[in-house]
Amino acid sequence: MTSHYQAVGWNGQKKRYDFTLIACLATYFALFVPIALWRHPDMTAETMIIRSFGLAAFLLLHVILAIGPLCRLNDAFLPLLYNRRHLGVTMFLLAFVHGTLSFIQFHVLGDINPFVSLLTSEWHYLAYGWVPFQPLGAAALFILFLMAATSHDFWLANLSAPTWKALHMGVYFAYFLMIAHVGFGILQSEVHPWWAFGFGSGFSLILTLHLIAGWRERRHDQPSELADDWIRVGLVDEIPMNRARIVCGSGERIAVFRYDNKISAVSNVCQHQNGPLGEGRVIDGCITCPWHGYQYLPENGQSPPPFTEKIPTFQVRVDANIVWVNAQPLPAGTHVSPVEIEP
Amino acid sequence: MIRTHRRRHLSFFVVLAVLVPVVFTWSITRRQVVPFAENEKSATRLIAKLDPWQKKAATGEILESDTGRFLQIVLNPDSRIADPLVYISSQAPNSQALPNDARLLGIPGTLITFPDLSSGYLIVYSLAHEQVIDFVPFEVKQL
Repeated sequence: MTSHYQAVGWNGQKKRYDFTLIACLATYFALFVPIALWRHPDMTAETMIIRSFGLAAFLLLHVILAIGPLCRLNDAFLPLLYNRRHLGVTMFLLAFVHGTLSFIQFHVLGDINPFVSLLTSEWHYLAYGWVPFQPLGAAALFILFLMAATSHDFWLANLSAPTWKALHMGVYFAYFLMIAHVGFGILQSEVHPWWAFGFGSGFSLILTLHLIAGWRERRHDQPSELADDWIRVGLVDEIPMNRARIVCGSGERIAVFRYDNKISAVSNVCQHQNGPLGEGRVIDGCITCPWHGYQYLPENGQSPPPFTEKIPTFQVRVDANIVWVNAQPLPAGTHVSPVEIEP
Repeated sequence: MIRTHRRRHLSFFVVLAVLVPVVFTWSITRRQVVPFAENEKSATRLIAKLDPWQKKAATGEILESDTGRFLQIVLNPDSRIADPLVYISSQAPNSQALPNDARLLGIPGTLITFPDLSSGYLIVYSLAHEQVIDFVPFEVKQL
């Protein structure tokens, strides 16, 4: 969380995160090279680099895609989410090395325009059952480039969180293109069943995790009980101390927090990346987003100075130990006196 | 806002859950049969055995079926060649480079449609090493 532009807001956790990432990649390459040389002793350096970087990018994309649903299913995975953008940019760089070297090796050295060659060379073989896998990879790389180039908070702030998130949903289309690129590419010549098994297991895991997390969330998103615009949240004691209970209004989710013998309600949506505030905690008197640590004061939804983020607030009342929240959001940053409760 | 995204997200994955297995199955099942399955081979007639290869790096034959002529070249299991390709030319290569009139036919280990030519040379070329690996003359009657 910063109040001014900064290339990367380094902190201890980000450094540890990136160090772990680099260590994992170093281990991967240390394993890949001897195994590849054992299986293909005559493999050239170019082929080695193309294949190792391509596989690394593909594996890393699976890790990235698994983090979101894993966090929604179990908050023990939240630390992985914290710096996921660095994973994404790293994955793009790996794919870029793979794509660029392939482009040079297979297209630049010919006597036609290399871009024309990339996009057209394989179409001649359609009649032989060949599926042009290289344009699929190039399209995926272009999407990954757009996402990596706009991954910084600068773009997040300027595009707005919803637009930014919509743009970054392109990763799912890129994933589909990469699946087709790998399936109609390397899987045609690497016919050992382990390759097909690994490939199938990877996408099965990703699809299963996302579908389970999505269905579970959809079930929880059923509109809550309404009485004259007031939503029944539950008994006071049902809201854990310094945490929230999330209810679903007519539009968006509402996070009702209990802290310091008070109850306040704010939008569940963090201004930063639309993270789920209601899954965070009250730390140092501030609601703290579980994704990246953005903070808001419970009584007015404003970030503490000098920060300027604001989220909508909601009126709350307690009748006979039952907490109610008004479904109509107040403008972002509106002060609402917290409801005092018995200790 | 976030609920809209989540709903869209779930929709994406419902679609992906259908498309990805289809693409996977398609990609696995369209792999070329190497070598011929016995039932396919019985439908073909051998019209030329490719020999002699200069370096014994491959074996091959030209086959004929009701749908045309096909070439099948299988690399020697001991010859580890990176990115091999099969070319056809009217002349034998006299260096590591391909002759000027060499035309790409396909990749070894797959069923390659054979052009209507009566004689010439078939060349196995390593794209990775940029050198001719082996070649063999052929002679067949025209269709």
